[in-house]
Amino acid sequence: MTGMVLPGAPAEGTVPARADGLKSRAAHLLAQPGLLLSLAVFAIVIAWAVAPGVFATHDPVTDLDANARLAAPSASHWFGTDLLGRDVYSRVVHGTRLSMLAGVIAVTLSLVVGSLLGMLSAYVGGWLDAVVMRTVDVMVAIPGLLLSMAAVSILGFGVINVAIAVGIAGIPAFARITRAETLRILSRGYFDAARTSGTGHLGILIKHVLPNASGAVMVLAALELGGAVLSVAALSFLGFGAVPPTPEWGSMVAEGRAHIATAWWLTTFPGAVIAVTVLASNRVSRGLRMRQR
Amino acid sequence: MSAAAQTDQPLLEIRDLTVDYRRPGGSTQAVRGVSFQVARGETVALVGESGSGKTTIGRAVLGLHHRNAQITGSIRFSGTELVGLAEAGLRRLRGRRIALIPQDPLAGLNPVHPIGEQVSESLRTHGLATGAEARRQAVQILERAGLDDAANRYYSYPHQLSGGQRQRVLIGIALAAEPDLIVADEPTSALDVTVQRRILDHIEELVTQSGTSLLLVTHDLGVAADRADRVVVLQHGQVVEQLPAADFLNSAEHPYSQRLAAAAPTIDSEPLVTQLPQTQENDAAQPLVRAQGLTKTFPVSGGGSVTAVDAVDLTLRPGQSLGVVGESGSGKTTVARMILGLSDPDAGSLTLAGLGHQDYRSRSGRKELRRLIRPVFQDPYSSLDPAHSVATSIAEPLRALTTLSRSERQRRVTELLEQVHLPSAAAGRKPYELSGGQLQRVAIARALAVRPKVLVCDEPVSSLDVSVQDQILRLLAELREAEGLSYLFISHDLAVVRQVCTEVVVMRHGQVVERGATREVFAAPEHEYTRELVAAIPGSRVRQQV
Amino acid sequence: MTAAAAETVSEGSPGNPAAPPGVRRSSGTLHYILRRLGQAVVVLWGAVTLSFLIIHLVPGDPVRIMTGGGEGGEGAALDSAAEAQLREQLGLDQPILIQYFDFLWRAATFDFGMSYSTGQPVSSAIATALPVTIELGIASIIASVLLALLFALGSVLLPTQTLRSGFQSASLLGTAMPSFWVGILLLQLFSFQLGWFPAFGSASWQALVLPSLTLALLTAGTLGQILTRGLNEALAESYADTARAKGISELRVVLRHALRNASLPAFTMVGMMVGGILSGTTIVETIYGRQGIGMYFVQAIQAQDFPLIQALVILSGAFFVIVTLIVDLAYRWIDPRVVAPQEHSSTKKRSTAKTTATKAAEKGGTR
Repeated sequence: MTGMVLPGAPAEGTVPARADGLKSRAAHLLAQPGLLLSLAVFAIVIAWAVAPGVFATHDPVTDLDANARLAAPSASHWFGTDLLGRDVYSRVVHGTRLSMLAGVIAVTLSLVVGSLLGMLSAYVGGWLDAVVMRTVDVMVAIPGLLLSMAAVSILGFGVINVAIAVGIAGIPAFARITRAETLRILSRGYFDAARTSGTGHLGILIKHVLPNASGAVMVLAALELGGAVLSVAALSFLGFGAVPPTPEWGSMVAEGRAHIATAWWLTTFPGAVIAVTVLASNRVSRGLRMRQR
Repeated sequence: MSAAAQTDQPLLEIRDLTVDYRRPGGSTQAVRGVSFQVARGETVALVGESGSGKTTIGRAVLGLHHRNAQITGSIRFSGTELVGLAEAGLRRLRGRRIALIPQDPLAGLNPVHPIGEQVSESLRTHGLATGAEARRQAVQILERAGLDDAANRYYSYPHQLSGGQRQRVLIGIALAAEPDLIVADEPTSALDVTVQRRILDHIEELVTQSGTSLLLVTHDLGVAADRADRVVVLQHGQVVEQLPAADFLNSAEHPYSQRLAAAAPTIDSEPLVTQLPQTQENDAAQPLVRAQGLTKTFPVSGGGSVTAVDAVDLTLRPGQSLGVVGESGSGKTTVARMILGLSDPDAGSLTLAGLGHQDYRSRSGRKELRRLIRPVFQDPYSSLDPAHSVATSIAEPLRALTTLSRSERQRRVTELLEQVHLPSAAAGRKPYELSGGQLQRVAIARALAVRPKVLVCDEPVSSLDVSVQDQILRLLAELREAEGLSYLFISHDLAVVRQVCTEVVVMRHGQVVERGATREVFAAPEHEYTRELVAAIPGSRVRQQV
Repeated sequence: MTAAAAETVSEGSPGNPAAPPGVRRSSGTLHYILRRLGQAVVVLWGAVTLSFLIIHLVPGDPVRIMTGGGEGGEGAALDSAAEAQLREQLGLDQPILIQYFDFLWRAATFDFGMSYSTGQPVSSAIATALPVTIELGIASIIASVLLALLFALGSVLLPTQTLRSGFQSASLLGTAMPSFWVGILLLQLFSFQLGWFPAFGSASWQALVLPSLTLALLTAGTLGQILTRGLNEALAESYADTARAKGISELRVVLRHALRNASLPAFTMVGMMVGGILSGTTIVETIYGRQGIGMYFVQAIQAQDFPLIQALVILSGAFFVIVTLIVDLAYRWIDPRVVAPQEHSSTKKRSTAKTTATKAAEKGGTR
């Protein structure tokens, strides 16, 4: 803040010129190569998910190369091939849509339900707050993956059900952060200012709480997207998700498990893609947090 | 602190000191070519507003500047060059010969170590004492620093002490190894005035006794004038003027120092408001705020309760500007919150412009009260929603409390911005783009939007620099006349209250201890506590001597 | 309330003894312990209720699902008499409220009935699996804490910015890698390539190395980041400057002044890690073929063995509640500040640190 103005001088009468938003933002981004790289990873992952056919070199299911079963990575098969001679790289590309879709479904579910609960819980307070927060405590008490698995046992197997189960397990984190954010906002001066200005409850929630809480919630959402992709992959790895031959990142690692002694590429590449995606989502989350300050 | 130094060679000599903060994408120059000296036994005050670089200089002397700070120039301490000195060399000086009294007594002590251990660490680090001997000496040091019952408090943790007591522990840590120079960085700005005065008296006494030099970093011009031998005035990282402290408030030469000195309200600055004549008409007018036996208690965690406001009576008549003065915990803010309908009284009556406090419960009553009585809060950074533009914030009460159309609201916002002397370009800006003073103007514009009768100002200038503070006070005085407003003005700062209030109420521990016309209360305080408060106003000492 | 808080701290005369905090301490502590205990009981009851609901929320007939008949039913895999017997055994023929109270009673007496897939009592299956998991848990937590300390101290003490951020990135990596993938990579390298450790089983101490390392690598990332953040925050605090101004070395500032403060949120995090250890063990035990609680859980889900699922949900919930209860109570002895963790308390720093830990633990828990 360049707030120091001389007394007598053109008394605070000038407001600083506006910073050139786009230009400074671009410069800011260029100064953070890690963030730039993470955004690039995101772009590739989205491209893979939207148009896998453009990027894949082979058909993920039907293209069985009988001459190259369990072939090591080469120019024609970048990530090698599996037991049936299918191209691992193409399967990873085609698996992106399902894995990412599941992650997005999970985060959306946790975000919408969790944020609503947290905001109302903090704003209304009293018994509602107590009931919601104790329920959240119960959900937190059962370790995330177990809670998801218990939910899967109710919902049934399949990637979408796994996504919903992971989404349910993610509700507490959003409920807690939105509640904390709402409480923070309610302790700020502008909440008192809004009340004394005659703004009603709904107005305060929509005009003051929502925009000011959204920053922290988005930071968590970016982080949780990575977490959800991991959890979905883990549940798929355990065999609750995609059914073969549908390509999906977690289940590909599971399929490769039988051959770890002979074909390291079957597990290494899909796993590495998951790790890079999650790392990128963590980095973007950190970038969002920095921007908030 | 009486006389300046006798020896020829200064203890501390700073020449052409420059400090750059390097950040990704550029650097900021916090200090630009500063030179000054501190003689042995001398107290020098570094004064300036926020951003003047005074704190940075203090840290550079101790070698405690930030990792990203690049220092050039020269800092010579009793013959040793400190700029470029290796860490090990600096460590030998730190604590032993140059000590620090940090700003915030709440954060300055490690919360997980007993206070005595933190004092004796100074001794042990420099091999001055060990074991039981270090403990014994630490107790003595704490006693000397003015901590009562020091022997029994050796194993106390910081959170068990009051702010003033913690500051005494920090003074003890600084004094432990009997240094030649103490850097005191805003040592009392987080404390109440009466505590501040006792602590400053004590530091002064100790420093004088031991012949230690003191570099006093402060934003409070009154403190600087009262406590230092010489004052170094800083602006934008440069020295504007150096002069004897006695001359500072009266005969500074540089225009910036003059303006600073003029802006700093002291015990005998000219009031900005004139008192209304005591006519029958005025006395008969219906009071805008009338509290009788107003009481509010809060539960304390772990059972019990604290009476924050205890049977308070006060009356605000049209045209008056009533100051409510008190230190932290006096209950003054709670009174304001009850008047604003943000908190319900537990007992007593509250009449607000003919309506009662209970009218806050009905929709129409609430609307009417919110229109009549409007708040200005302490911290504009907090009271303006960072997500909203200035225009949206100002228009918020217009939307909720009036039936104005969109374009009518826009017109009113433009009008209001002009009234608080902000350019119309400010309307589209977000709070982070404006300075603290500008934001407080926006908050005042928002308060004025629905043409209220009363403004409840809760410490409206205490988070601002003096020169900005002065401008805001002038604006409030101007608006009072133009709009025919009445003020309820909450403040801990007596000098400020004296400038803008016609009447004053002094609160302590939730009770009113004294009331009356401002001029009379300040000239001849009756209650002992009021006398103590008035005496503690920084800057009073110099004025009395002149 | 700020006014009230300020009141008790206001200095008054300098001779004022610092009695108020001390007086409030004892009654406050008892109050806090009772409240915290009550909260634990409520959460425990919630976990039991949740686990009771599992079998009732299943669409269709749980008995059919368990016996493999499925909803559509490819004919009766079991004759109807056997089905009826199972139904009776599970108490599903009773009114729902009776079932619920019966379930609560059985949960309180650790009687979870028979596992359908193994035909054994659930409690005896748990009793054999528990030591395997406990062993893995203890080893991994120790390894995790040591690794995290290494990460954190490296990220603040190393001499150059590049080295420091390198260490920080390494701990970031730990939070992003899928546990099943790390487990397989370690297997490939240390069992199949180098042959240093056995790939499967739980018989020897060598068999414990890779599974606990897998778990530790992942949790150490999160823990290391919390510690690093805590250290950086503490080192930027005013009290760190007070310490530096005494002339002590940076190493000593870190070890004596910053680490103790930074370890407070990390301590909460370790508690949540211990409480949530079963999340990680499902994957790791499956990969390394260790017959522990985690593997049982996976098998129970695969077999839709509802009695076993219910028992394990209660067990994991109870374990978490007890561990976090102990941690929260122990916290009050470690942190000399008395104020109980509350939203509006004056020790904002600490409670935010705690929420960070909570958040991070939830994240760590899902992997």
